[in-house]
Amino acid sequence: MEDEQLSDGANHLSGSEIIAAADGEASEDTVAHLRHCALCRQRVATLRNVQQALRRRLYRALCPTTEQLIDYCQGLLSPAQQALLARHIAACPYCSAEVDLMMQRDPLIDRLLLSDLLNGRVLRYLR
Amino acid sequence: MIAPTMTIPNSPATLQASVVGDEAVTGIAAMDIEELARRCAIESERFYRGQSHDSRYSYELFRRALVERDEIAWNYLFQHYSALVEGWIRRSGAFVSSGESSEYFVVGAFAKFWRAVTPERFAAFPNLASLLQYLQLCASSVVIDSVRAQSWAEMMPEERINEQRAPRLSPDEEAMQRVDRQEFWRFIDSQLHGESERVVVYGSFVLGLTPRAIFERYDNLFESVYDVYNVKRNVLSRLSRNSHLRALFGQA
Repeated sequence: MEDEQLSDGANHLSGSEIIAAADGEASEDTVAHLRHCALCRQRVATLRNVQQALRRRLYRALCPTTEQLIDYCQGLLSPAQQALLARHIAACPYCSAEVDLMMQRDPLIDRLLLSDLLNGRVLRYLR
Repeated sequence: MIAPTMTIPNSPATLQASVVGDEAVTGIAAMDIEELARRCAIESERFYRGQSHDSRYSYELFRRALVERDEIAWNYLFQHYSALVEGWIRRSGAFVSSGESSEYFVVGAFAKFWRAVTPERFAAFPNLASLLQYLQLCASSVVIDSVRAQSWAEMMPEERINEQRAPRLSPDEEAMQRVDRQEFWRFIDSQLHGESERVVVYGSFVLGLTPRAIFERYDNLFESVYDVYNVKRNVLSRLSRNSHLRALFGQA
């Protein structure tokens, strides 16, 4: 990352302004500067590429697979794995939203479970 | 969050067997597949109408398909439950934005179910309700997989062009790639100083958030979004001087 006092002596954007521009949050003054400054445009482009390289390797890198989320929702994981996933889901907005979607169980399944339980109880009394 | 379990001690199947004897269970297990599928359909129809029903036939159909890997049983299962699965997919909150057809996801849901419920794992499903819950989870998850892929493509549009040319990774290769990425995070994390740096880097690159979104999420740590810009600038400046990362940034 270059320091804003660049060798040509001209006024250039600060490191923070370059960050804002690379992330689509540039102020009007920054946008105006970038229109006529090829060097700062190059700095923004370089930073975008660096960030893309990091995102390519890190984006949702810690998120479980959906196969793991299925087993988590079904309660099939070991207690330690269940706790580990629970901690991640609590902190991750994406996994939390996905689990919310997955846990919207069809009421038909609850009816079926209740029906099976009732059948079991009735037959127990008949013994 | 504690997930509900579908494990029920003294499952109805076991109790019914102990009451009416093993003959009924043996009878169902020995039943001809066409007759089994027919009884399955009859009992399902009784259930949908709110009448008393017997779920053992459907459970046996699942058992033959998943434990014995009986292809005919599997085909009957698909025929019998594909409409139900399609309904789940269409009602999934993520389906509309997926851009895919429900038929595509139905096939994917059954494939995922088949792969996940191996003969060794079948004992973890003591009743029909637990199997259908798992099938529904598989249905939701294939839609979510599609949305995850879209989200990845939006985050890294240039990768979409490369992916179309590159061969698809095998499950083992995907697993190794996941491990590599997790190890890469551990290395990056080891280079960070303090909570604010960790939050900015995790937020920027693991969650893909903009600085403004990071500030809104963690406003207890930063006085303004300019603090986020400054932390990010300092971290990236330090990382770019790291000898291990220079090759990565040099390729950027």
